[in-house]
Amino acid sequence: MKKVYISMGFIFCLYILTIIIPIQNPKTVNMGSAFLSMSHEHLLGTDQFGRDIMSLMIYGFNRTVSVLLAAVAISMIFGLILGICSGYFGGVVEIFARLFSDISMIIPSFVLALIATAKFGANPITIGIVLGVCDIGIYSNQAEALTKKLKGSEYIQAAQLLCMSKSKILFRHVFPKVVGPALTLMGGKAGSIVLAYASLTFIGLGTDTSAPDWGTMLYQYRTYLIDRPILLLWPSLGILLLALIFYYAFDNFNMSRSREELLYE
Amino acid sequence: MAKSFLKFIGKWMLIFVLGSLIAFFITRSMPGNPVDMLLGRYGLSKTPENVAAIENRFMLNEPWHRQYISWITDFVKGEWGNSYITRSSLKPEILRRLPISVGIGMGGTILAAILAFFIGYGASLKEKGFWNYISKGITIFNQAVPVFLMILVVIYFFGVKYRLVRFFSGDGMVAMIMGMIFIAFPLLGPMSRTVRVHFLETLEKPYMDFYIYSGYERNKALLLYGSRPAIYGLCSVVVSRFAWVLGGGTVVEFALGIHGISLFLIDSIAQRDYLLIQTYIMTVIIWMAVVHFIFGFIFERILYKGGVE
Amino acid sequence: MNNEYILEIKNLHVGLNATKAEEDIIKGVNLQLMPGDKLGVVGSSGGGKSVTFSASMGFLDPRKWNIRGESIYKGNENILAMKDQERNDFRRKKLGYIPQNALNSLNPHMKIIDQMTDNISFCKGVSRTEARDTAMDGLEFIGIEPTESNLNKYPHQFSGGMRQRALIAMVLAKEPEILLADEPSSALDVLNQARSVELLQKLMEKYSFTMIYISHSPGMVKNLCNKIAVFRQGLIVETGDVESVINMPVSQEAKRLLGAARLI
Repeated sequence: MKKVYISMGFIFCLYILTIIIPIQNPKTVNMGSAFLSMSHEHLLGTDQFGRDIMSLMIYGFNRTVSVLLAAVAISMIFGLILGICSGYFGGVVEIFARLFSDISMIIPSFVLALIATAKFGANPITIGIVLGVCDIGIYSNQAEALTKKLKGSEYIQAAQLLCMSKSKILFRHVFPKVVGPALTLMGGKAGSIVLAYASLTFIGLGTDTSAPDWGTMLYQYRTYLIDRPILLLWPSLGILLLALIFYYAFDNFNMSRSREELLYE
Repeated sequence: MAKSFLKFIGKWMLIFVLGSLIAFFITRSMPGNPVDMLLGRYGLSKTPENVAAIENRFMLNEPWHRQYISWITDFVKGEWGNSYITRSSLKPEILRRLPISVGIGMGGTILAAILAFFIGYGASLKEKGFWNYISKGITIFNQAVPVFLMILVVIYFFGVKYRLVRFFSGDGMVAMIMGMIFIAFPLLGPMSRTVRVHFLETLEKPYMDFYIYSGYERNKALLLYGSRPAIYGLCSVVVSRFAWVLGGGTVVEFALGIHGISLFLIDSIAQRDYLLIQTYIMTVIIWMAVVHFIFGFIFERILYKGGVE
Repeated sequence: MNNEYILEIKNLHVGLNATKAEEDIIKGVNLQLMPGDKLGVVGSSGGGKSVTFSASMGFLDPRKWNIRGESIYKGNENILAMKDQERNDFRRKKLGYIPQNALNSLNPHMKIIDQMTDNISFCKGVSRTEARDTAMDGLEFIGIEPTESNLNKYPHQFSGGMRQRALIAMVLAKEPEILLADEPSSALDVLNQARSVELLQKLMEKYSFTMIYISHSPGMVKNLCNKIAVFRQGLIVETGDVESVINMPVSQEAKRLLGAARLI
């Protein structure tokens, strides 16, 4: 658990920092200073448009983490609520939850996000919402299964006998046990969200090409792969490190994924 | 049997209807006035008569539910209309590109399954063995490196710098093969882990011990006689991936320029061709229903002969 | 080197690698078997019966177990010193093992007839057609008619007792020289136990082999064996002819076991 706090805390602090610290506006183009190498003024150099790569990286980080926050918030909050209620109350709620999760897992999230970028532009929050909604089903299924298992356990039955209110039972007893596995699931999905956002911005539908996303950067720098590969190094590293830090933190290096998890990917 | 069939049909009809509503509303709410755009496409000036003509032609002045019903009935009849952009019939365009996407998707998935079987088997034999490291390594690699980046690097190194392969020379075969490879590669990791887990489970079973007592060599016996659970497990992963074949190949098609249905979608989105977007979503849903029916429903009954597992 | 014995266990000590020598499970077992002997092995649970013979046949993993002593086959081959290929050959041709978990030892994914055919063909080195005939004879021997429907059946479609008898028939069809049966009937009900005993008796008439029969039940040992060894806490405390030991037990352990059995 310590790993989780440290790494998530680290990312969160960086995120806040990137909002506060003033950096060069990514839209300023200065052809005169194209392809400058790493220096005091430009920590990572400049690209073909003369933009400061460090600033671009920071913006990209910020936007990617925004997507993550939006997506994770939506899928976990709604997924857990839906799953717990479905598992505990059964009946209509369960039918609805199952249907919703089936549908959300059938509709290809990437394509939906693509379509959303056309409508709303490559707005991190919107994309985050779309990706989040498509993942609700996975969290809800897991939460439902766990809740059902817990429901049969002795201490829940004891609590019911003691006439503890339903919301209290759900909150005090069920929720804490369900959150843990949900976080592990989140750790596994976080990396794929980072990659999905990079892919979406690489394809670049509906984006303002000056928008500083890591995927966009890779698209723009792709022609320089042989001559100036260092341009592609930074966004690639960004994606790689950000994805890996989640796997490390949530111990997803434990490689024996269950068959159910694999089926829903 | 009949009951679960009805349930199946019911569920998918519901998905079909809901999906079509979603598709309809998404595209209706796209930015840009379709009338203006269509006027532009047809090269007409914006006179009231032209506007009225366009509106009538495309039913744009009808209430939304009429438009929806008209579209959905046409769709079911097989009349998929004309693209707003190319003005040619959508159906042959889609039908032409569908096999390409399905081809690389299914081809790639099967390729991955075959390779993953052997990698997973090797990985199950020794905890600290070579194949286990390969399997783990590929899994981690795919979780941190996006496919488009891999494709970029491969194209530029093999195609541009060393000119080993000609990627965009118009010979679709190279692109198709590359497409299958890059669809397969991300699947190798999780599939091989599944195979490994199944083999490890099988190794624990008493009947494997009995093969050893009878004088069989452990690893050979595992492969020859203990493969069934791993194959079943792999099959169910393959089948569930088949359903994803239409959406999942989008990045690969884009990066390699493969003229599949997903690249068509990307172009259409870029050009605001709403009709194609709607039709694409419906095609995906139908495809998924078909896959789930053929494999999920039918095969499941055939596949489980013997084996109480 | 005494060439008469088919199996000679010399000073066998077995312990877990993780523990010290004083905590050995088997503390020095010596045993000689003549060809054709049927040795019954009894003793209370944990007395070391299974471990001793699993070790002497080379089934225990040396990474986990510490095995000292010798287990000599036919006077000149130490089973414990065999290399992999030698050992596999020995298991294939000379040894038949009916494990404790016989009920679950058949491959659930293959039809019984196919498994038996495979096994017999592999172990005896004969063609599949010949092996299949032998297998069908074996099935008939245990009371399964070789009909079309029976031949297409999977293990789970047979009862536990039937599966166990099929396993026994399969193991003996390869005509091993030594048969090690480790509590083969303990998981079965009384009726099926009796059937298993009957089957073994029939098979003993048909084939000649040396048998080591580990059992909880002195009654079954009396029906099948000519010699008996009594185990207690990792050592043999009494051994001899079945008749004399059962009628006149000398050691405490034997008296206890046989006294309890007499109540049945």
